[in-house]
Order: sequence, then structure tokens, then C-alpha cells
Amino acid sequence: MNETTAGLTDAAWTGTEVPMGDFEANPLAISVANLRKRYPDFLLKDVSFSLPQGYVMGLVGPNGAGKTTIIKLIMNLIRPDGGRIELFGLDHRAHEEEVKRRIGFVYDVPPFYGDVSLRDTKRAIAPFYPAWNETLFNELVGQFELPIKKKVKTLSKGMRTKFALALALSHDADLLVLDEPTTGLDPVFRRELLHGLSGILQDQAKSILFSTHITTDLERIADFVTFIRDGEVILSASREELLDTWGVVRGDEAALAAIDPATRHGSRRHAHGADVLTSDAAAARAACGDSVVVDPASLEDIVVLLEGRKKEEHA
Amino acid sequence: MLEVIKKDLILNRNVMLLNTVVFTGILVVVAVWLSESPPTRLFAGFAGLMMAFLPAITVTREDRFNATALGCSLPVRRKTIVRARFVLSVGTALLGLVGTFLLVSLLPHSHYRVGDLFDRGPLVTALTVIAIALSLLLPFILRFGMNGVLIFLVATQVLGVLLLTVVSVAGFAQHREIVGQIVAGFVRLRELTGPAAFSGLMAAVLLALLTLSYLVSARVFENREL
Repeated sequence: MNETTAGLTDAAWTGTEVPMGDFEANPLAISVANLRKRYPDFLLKDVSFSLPQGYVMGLVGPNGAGKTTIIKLIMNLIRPDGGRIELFGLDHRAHEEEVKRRIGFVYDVPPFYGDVSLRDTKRAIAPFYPAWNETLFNELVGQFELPIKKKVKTLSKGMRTKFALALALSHDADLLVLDEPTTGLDPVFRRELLHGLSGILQDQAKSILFSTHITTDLERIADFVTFIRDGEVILSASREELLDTWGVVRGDEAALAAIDPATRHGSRRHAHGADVLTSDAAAARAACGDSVVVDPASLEDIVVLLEGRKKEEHA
Repeated sequence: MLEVIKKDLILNRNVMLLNTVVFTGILVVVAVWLSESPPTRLFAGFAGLMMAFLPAITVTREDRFNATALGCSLPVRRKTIVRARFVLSVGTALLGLVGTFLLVSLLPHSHYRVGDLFDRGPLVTALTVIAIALSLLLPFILRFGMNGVLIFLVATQVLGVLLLTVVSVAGFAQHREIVGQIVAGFVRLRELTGPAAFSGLMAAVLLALLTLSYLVSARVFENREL
């Protein structure tokens, strides 16, 4: 069984050893409420979600869904038209310096000066962080094989992301905000990176917000998943909730008609029948009987089948 | 604020030095190689204008590399970034001016001597030009980046054309009269207050202009979307 179809099994979620279930007792690293942002051709609609400290949240959705907009709003790079963002319980604008000292940020396209060396870029950025750890930075530079004396423009996109990660990880950040960090990285480094991020979470005060459209990355490390589509949160749930309740029901279309429409979130037709995404796998099993197969829903299933619903709605 | 200034200096050091050399080179050519030298005050004003454009490099380079988001994602308020840009701009322009005046006046065959350029008149002219140019330029470049420089240059060109049109329609004599009245107003104010108080008043006006420019810049940069 490959990773994309493995489903949300415990084996696929090896990223963290933080026990789930007690997260509600943790203070929040991120709290986003009714966030709105309007562009001429795009609207972010009342987005709300929260991330307890010590956990990883994956923001997942197709390109143009609004993931980067949400991250830019959190980083105060753009202004919201409404709603509220709190980081570590503090308003992200009123306490901008305080909260940003505790954030390590990796951009989707790292915006470094191309004609400046990595060493000088680090020299320019490090003084902003009182907790800067030069030893750790040098270790990461070695581990990532970064050519510290070379100019940024000589690096590939993947190497630039590695450099951005080294900067983000070197000041003991309590929250890592990573916008598509694995895009452009080779599979080996992607795996190492995800493993490394899991290691960071051994410190239970650290949290990660991780946007991606590569769902297998999230299956490795995310404790919570928030699906965004067309500027709307379609689903924001914990891994446990997804594992316990969501599923893909496979069978012929007549049998699948028994599924409660309120729990039906998308479908896909194929030569042997159809697949239906349901938010209540147990109820669907009971309703359809033995004529269908109910599998755990992988993140890819959820993304693909939610897109299927969008197409159904448009049709 | 010091971290922001240090960051800008590290990331723009080479280009700033290069531009200082180029700008100073142009002024050296004017001061040494031109057969007829411009009046000292005109030269000082020209030098002030050139030096006022030096700081624009930091912002335009940021634009070139789409790096404004880098600065704004660091733990620093946008207001502090603007304040640092103003301090760096004024500091760079003043250093560039003093350095250029020294170099130009010490070169053999220069039309200007140290005493000519470091006199009250040329210095006041140069400082006035720097203060006015920075006050007008910085809000544009902080809001619009590299385009801000172009907008500023185009706006001043359009303004110049409009003024010339007005002058040509209203007649040259009338234009001379208006300018004459403005100059006479300044001279009369200077006579009434005395040279020291007049200089203080002018400095206060320029400082107020820079402060107003800072407040406008902070406001527009605060709302800039990255």
C-alpha cells in the first residue's frame, strides 16, 4: 500500500509522540476567528481555526485556495478586512514584535537578496532574535550542506528553502510557520525535513503551521488538518476525529445512495461504481450494509473527493 | 531600530558604495573638468539632490528581490522600519555630501575651495535641497517601492511642464515678479528676525517637513500589502 492511499492509519502518523486527546488543555499557539480578506478576484470568507501549543497543523488545499493569504495575514504582511488573529494569546498586531520573536517563518518563495552571500544574509537577520543560536545555525548549515560563502542567487529553490529553514530554526522559535516548505525539495530531503520537524515537537511547547498541497507530507506529521478551498475552511479537524469518523465508501451507485446526504462530502465515479467521502463512516456502513467497502480516508482522498463535490456543485 | 539600519547596510553595502562613487564621480567631473564651473550654491544644491537619491537604493533593491516581506516578517514594527529608513537616508545623504565636498575641494584644478563649499550659504542650500527631496521622495518609495521613484520623477516632470505652461501663458515678466516677491519675502523675514534666528526658523521648517513626511510614510507603509 503506498503512502497516498494508505489512509489515516496510525502508522502513517509517525511525526509526533505528543499524546493526542489532551490538546484542549494546552494554551493556543494560533487562534484565528472570522478572518476575512477581499481581493478583486478572491474572497477569504470568515476563516476560523485554532492550534494548541505543541501540535502540528496542516493547511491543505489546491493552489489558489487561500493558504498563503492566511499565512500572510498571520504574519501581518497583509491587512485583514475583518476577524481576529491571536498568537500565543496575544493580538498579532498589538504585540507584533513580541510574537514574531517567537515565530520561525519560511516563505513559499524565500525573498532573499540574490547578490548577497548566505553568511551576510544571516548576519543581517540574526540580531533581530535575542535567542539566536549560532552553534545550532552552523550545525544546520552543515547538515543541509549550504554553501555559506556563496551568493543566494547561486542556490536552487530547494537550497533557498533549506537556508530559510536554517534561519527559522536557529532562534528557538515556539511556532514555525511554513508556507509550502517542501515544494521544490528532493524526496530524500523532504523526508529528512519532516523527520526533523517531528524532532522539534519533542519539546511540547513548540507548534507548527504547515501549508502544503502535498498531502503525504501532512500524513507524516500533522496532528490537525484544515482544508481550505476557494477561501473557505471546508474542514478543520484533529487527526483522531478524521481517523475515527471520516471514510471513503466504495461500491455501486445504487448502494451508495443510502448514505445520509448531510454526511456526504463528495464523490468520484469510476468504471466499477463510485467512491463517496463521508464524515460518518460508521453510519454509512450501517446504511449501505455489506454491499460496500468502507476505507479510512487518506488526506489525498479527502482533497480529491472534496474537489469532486465542487465539480458536482458546479455541474 | 539599529538592527534595521544594520540589516540595510549589510544587504545594500556594495551597491550603496558603488552609487556613492558614481554620484561623487559626476560631481567631480562638474567641479574639475567643466571649463566653466556652476555657481557654488547651484553646485551645492545639485550635490544635495544627488545625495538625497542615494538612500532610494535600499528600497528599490528590496523591491527588485521582492524582499520587503523579509523585513516585515522580522520582529520589528513597520513604524520602526520607516524610522530607520529616515535616519539612514538623512545620515547617508549627509555623509555623502560632506565626503563629496571634501573630495571636490581638495582635488587639484577644482573650481571650488574648502572655504567655498563649507560656507553657510552652500551648506544651507544643500541641506535644504536634501531635506525637501527626502521629504517628498521617501513616502513615494516606501509606499510604491521602485515604482515610487519613477512616480516621483514623472510627477516632478509633469509639475515642471505645468509650471512652464503657466509661465508661458501668464508671461515671463509676471513669473519673474512672483519669484522676486517670494525671494523678497525671505529677505525681509531674514532682516526682521536676524540671520541666526532666520537660520533656526528655516531649520525648524525643514525639520517639520521631514517629520510630516515621516508621519505620512509610516501611515502608508503600515497599510502596504506584501
